[in-house]
Amino acid sequence: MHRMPAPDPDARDVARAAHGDTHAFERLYVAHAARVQTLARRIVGRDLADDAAQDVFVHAWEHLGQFRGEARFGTWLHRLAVNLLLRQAEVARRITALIAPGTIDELGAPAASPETRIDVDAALARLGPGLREVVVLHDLEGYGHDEIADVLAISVSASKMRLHRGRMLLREWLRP
Amino acid sequence: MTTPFDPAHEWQDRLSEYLDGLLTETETRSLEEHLRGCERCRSVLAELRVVVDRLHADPADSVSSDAWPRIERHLGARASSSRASYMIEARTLRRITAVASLVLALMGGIWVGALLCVAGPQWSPPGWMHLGARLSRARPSRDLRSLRESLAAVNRELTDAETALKNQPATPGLQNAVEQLRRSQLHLQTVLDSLSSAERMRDNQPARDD
Repeated sequence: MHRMPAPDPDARDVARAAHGDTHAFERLYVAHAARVQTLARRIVGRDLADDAAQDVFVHAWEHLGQFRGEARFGTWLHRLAVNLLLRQAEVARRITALIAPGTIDELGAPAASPETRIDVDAALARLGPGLREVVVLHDLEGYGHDEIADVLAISVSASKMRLHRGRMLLREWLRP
Repeated sequence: MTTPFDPAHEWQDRLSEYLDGLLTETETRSLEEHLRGCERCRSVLAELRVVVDRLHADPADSVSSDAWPRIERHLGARASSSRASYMIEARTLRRITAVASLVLALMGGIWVGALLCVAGPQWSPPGWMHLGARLSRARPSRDLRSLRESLAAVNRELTDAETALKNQPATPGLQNAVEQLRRSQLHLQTVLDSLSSAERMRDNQPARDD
């Protein structure tokens, strides 16, 4: 027997927001802002997180017409946020590499002394592109490897390999 | 002390999959059999568990109360989606450029400080040595104009440094300083060219309404 999926609690506000109701969109913002803000901090770093999260909601507002209701709004918003934030993180990495190449290590991450004890944010920043996204999406955002493979356009086995490599590096940097 | 990574170790590469319950029953049995006899893999597995636990404990952020009004201001302007997307990208580029400029300014300060340390007490630093301070003053580089100003500052410092090198070729660190400035000049010019090109594309794109 098929169980009917629970109705999307955001459905009414999404429909209103799609017709230009900013109050409805504010309610959607209140419901999802913390998750987007946290995701932004994890992917682009604390310095850019506020503005990046803001960009996500403006982008979502502009693209509400593309939301077909096939998934919950929260799922759609999260996927949109992941794609936008990954792009911003990549642009940031390229520009920093151009302007100050000495500050980027071989993993494409900000250089830091191996003796320096760092927190989760700093450790994630050190992971660099490729590894960081997979660790964030899997261990912090709860994505499966098939979803990660889809978002990052890589194979499932590559996703598993990157996750393991990322965790192996983090275990060095996060040791007590 | 954590256990060093050993790529030759048969099961070490599968430990994350084991931790996440992604191995088949047969693989799980084989790995557990291996773990019974391998202290190194047991140790790595325990450390990976700690990593995953720490990541899971990462708390969600709170949102500042002034965030929504800032977003709402952008919603009012409801431009065409392509133009709005460009504006988001342009804001992002400006912010990233600003952050990168801060990195450059910081590097300039550290580098000047290091040069002053190696310089002998009898030597008086010429004017171009104040690069770090000048770049720091230019910090509010929130857009292309500020980046151009930073490039102009680097150009001026390079001219001064080359003159100083010509007049005082024996000055410690001066040759390296000139080379460093040339590299900075090249990097800034490359970024400026890219951003200017994006700006021109934006200006040439006709605005469309929904």
